[in-house]
Amino acid sequence: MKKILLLPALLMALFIGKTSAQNSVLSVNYAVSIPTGNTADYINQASGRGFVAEYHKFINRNIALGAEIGHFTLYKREQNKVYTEGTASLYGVQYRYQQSYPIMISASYFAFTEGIVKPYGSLAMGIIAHNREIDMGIFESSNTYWQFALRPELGVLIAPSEYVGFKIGAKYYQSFSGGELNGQSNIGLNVGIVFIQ
Amino acid sequence: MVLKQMINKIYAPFTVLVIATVSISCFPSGPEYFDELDIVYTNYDDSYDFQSKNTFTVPTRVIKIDQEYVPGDPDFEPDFVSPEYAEAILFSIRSNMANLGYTEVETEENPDLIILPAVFQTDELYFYYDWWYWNWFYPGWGPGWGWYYPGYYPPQVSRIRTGTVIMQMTDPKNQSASDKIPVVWTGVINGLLEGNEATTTSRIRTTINQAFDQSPYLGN
Repeated sequence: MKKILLLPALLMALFIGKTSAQNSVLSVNYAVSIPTGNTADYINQASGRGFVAEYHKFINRNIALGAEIGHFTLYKREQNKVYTEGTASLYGVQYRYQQSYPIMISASYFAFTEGIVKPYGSLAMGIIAHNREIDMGIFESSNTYWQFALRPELGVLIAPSEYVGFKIGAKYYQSFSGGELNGQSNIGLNVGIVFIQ
Repeated sequence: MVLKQMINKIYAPFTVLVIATVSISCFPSGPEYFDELDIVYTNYDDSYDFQSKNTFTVPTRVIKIDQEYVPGDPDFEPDFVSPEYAEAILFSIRSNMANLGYTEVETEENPDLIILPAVFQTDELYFYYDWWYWNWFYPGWGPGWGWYYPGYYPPQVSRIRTGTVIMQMTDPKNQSASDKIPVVWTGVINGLLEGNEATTTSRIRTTINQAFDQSPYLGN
């Protein structure tokens, strides 16, 4: 019985604390990816297989500097298609995968410093490693491409407590052609839990 | 303060770890059925005038390729594919050629095109190889020797058996001066050699039909 009471008490304790100026925040996000541009030409299917971890340190009340790492997998099964190059044609079920790993540094601007809901804008730059794999028949081709990338974001940090909060963010990842792969882009929708330190 | 430390030191890294692990391990699945691994490849001579050809022939049996070179003596007879599979292959070629407007004739009637069907089988063995490879080195090694794994199981012997049907469309009337026969169209089908006879013959028919479907230039 004590244990049953303890859980709500713990949750209450998390959210009741007064909101004060925080030094840093660590957020762990579930990430949905919606491919756009060249990425959509390869896989035009949104994916819910992803996560992003972010750390931000406030240098003043409005601006935080930080870093982001993540992982998301795009996948599509292509069926009943003939791939033709010159006189050669190839038919078969194709399994396409693209796994991306962003590793970036970022700067965020929080317009309001008071209140529970804090909208922010952020810009990140860094690299994204894209691993592309195509499986067809018993054959497999897999390549990893490292590309320079930029990532703007608009989001909201909801911090009802001193320790824990939530965030919702919409990002646009654009990596630039490199390693024989053209530029890749996708929209990333993040929903995360935020640990305030 | 204790609660804050607990969150920062335990829950935060734990959450990162769990979500990262779930995300990375949540890899989409690949093929589930044998026929999803079937592929069909075709290629042709684009300067060849298929429209001017009217007749074709196919052999009565389908050969099975099991060695790279065969003795060039006149009595050599190859291995043949079992009749049920040969039937599926030959029937599919005949019906597709007929649909394209070609007429089947006997070999003696001087056909414009001859289609040669052949089957390859490849075995790829992992984690296992013939002990005889070490015959030259291992002291006292001789016939009948082998190896065993005392007290534990050997590595899994897993095997991928794939089969390939290759169709070569040749033009017997355009033999080159050096006795080379032009192969004006090639169709290659590759897939796993698994499943029962009915599903295999059905896959053979489907994929041969696909080979002709993706080659509309053969139309007469």
